[in-house]
Amino acid sequence: MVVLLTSDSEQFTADKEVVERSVLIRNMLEDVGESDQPIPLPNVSSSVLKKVLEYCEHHRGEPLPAADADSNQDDTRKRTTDISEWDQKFINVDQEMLFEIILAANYLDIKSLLDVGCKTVANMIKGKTPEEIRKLFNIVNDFTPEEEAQIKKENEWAEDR
Amino acid sequence: MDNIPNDVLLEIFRTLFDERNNWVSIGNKKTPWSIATVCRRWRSLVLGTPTFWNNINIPSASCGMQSTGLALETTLSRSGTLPISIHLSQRECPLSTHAIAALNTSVDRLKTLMIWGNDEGEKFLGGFGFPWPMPQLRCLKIDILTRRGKIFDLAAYLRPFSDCPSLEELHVTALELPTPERQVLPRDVAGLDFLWGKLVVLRLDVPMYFKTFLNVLQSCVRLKSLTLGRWCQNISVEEAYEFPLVLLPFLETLNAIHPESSIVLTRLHVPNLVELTMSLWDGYTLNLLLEVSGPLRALRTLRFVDSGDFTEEIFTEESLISSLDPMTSLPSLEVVCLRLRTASLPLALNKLVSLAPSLHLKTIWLSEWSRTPQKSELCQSIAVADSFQALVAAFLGEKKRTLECVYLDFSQGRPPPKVPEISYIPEDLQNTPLLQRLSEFQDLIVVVSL
Repeated sequence: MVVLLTSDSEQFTADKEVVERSVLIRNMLEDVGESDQPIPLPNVSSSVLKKVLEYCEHHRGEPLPAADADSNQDDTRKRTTDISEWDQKFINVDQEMLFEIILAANYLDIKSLLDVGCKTVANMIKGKTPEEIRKLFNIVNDFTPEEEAQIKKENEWAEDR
Repeated sequence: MDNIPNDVLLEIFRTLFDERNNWVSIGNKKTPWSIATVCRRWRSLVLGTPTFWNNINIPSASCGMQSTGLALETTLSRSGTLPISIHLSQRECPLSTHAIAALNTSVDRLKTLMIWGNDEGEKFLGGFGFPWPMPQLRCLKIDILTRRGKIFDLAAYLRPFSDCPSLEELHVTALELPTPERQVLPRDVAGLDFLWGKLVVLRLDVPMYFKTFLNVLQSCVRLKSLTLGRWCQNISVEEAYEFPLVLLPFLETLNAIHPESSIVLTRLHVPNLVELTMSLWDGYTLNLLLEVSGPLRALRTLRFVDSGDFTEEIFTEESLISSLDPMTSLPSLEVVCLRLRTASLPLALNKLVSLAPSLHLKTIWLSEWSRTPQKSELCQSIAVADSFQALVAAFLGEKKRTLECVYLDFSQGRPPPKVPEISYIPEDLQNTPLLQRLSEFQDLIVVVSL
C-alpha cells in the first residue's frame, strides 16, 4: 500500500498497482524504494485526489499507454472525442472540478485521464461560436479594436458551415 | 480555464482538430479558424502551431471565389516551413487566379496532393502553370469524374507532375464509370515521361489499353503495393496470354477486388506477395496467381471482400470452392479476413471449417461497416454465430491449436492496427450471440475494433 499526502494535508492509502497509473508516482516510488513515508502531492487537493483515485481504481489492470506512443503515432493517430460510458459518468462534474481533474492528471502524468478531460472540454467547445465559447468558460475578449478589425477582415471569406 | 497550461490547452485543440481529420478547411469557420478568434492567448497558441495549418482542404464551393486566394495565402503562411498537403475539389469551377498564385508560392513544399476534378484534363490542371518542380511531393491522388463518349487521356493528368523526383505513391481513379459498356475510350499513354520506376504504391483505375497497362507495370520495378481497378480492357484470356509476363519482385500487397482485374493477374508474376485482397466471387484470382507465380510462399494474409457489382446475389457452392480451395496450397497463410454480406457469411465460414484440417490460421477477421455494431447483423445473426463458433472450434480442437486471435472490425475501413495482445470487447456487445459464443473459448484473444 502507498500513502499519499494532499495539499490540504489529508492522507489517502491506495494499492501500489492503482497509484502507479500515475507516471509521477511510479517514478517517485522507484526512486525512494519501499517506504512508509507519505508521498506529498502539493498540487492536488483531497477532493480532487479522491476523484483521481476513483478513476485509477476503475481502470486498474488496463494496459498503460507507451511512453513514446505519441511520437510514434503522430502521423497516423486520429484522436476522437468518443468517451466510454463509465468515463462520461465519472467526468460529469462541475466546470471547476473538471479543470482541477485535468490539472491533476497533467501533474500526476496520467495520460488516459488527461485524455478524458481534454475530450470532455473539446466536446464542450465543439459547434460553438467564439462568443459562446467565451461565455461558457468566462473568457474575456481581450482583442484590441484594431485586432478585432483584422480578425474580421481575415474571416470575411468564411461561411458558417 | 485560465489555469490550464498551454500544452494541455493545445491538446484540447488537437482533439477538436483531429475530429476534422487534421484538415483545415478553406471556406468555413470551424477549427482552427474559430478557436483562433476567442482571445489573444488562444489565438497566439493556434497561430503558433503550424501543424494546424499544413493540411489544407479546398472544397469545391470555394474554388472559384476570389476570397479563397486570401484564405489560402493566410493558411500557407501560418503553416510556416512545414511540408504541406492539399486536398482540392474543383468539380464545379477551377481554382481562382489568386488562389493558384498563392499555391504556386508553396508548391515546393507539397508533400501530398489530392485532386478531385472533372474530365477536362488540360483545363483541369493547366491553370496551375505546372509542371513546377515539386521536390517533396510523395503522394499524388487524382480522382476524375468521367463522361461517356469522352476519350480519356491519362497523360493530360500526369504530364504536369513530371518533375516530382520523390513521388512514391500514385493513385489515379476514373469515377462514375459507365460499366460495362466501356464507352470512355483510352488514349494511349506510350512515351509518357513519368517517374514510374520510383513508385512504391500504385492504384491505376482508369481507361487504358491492356498492353499500355502492362507496359506501365513493367516500368514499376520498385512497386510494393498495387491496386487493380475495373478499367482494364476487356480481352479474352487467350489474347492476354499473348503478352509477356510482368515480374514485380518487390510486390507485397495486391488488391484485386474487381472481377475485371483477373485478366491482369494472368500476366503478373509476384513471387513475394504477402497480402492479397480479392473478391470471393472471383474464384479465379488465387488460382491464376498460383499458376503464374508458384506457391506464393510469403503470402500470409488473404482478404475476401464482396464485390460491389454483385450486391444482390449470394455465393454459390461452386464460387466458394473455386475461391477458397486454393488456400490449402499456401504454406505461410496465417490470417484470413472476411468482409462479406451476412447472408453469404455462414456459407463461407462453413466452407472454411471443411478446409480447417489443411490450414494453420492464427488470426481470423470478420469485418462489417456498421456505425452501430451492437445492432449489426454480424453480431446478431444466429446463423453467423453458429458457423463462426464451429470455425473457431475447428482451429482450437484437441489436434489443432493454431488460432490465437479473432478480430471483429467495425471501423469503417480504416487501416487495420496491429493486433493487440489482449482482448477488448465493449460492454454493449458482450451479450450479442456472436460474442457470447466466442466467450466460450479460453485463451482466445477477441478484439473488437470500432
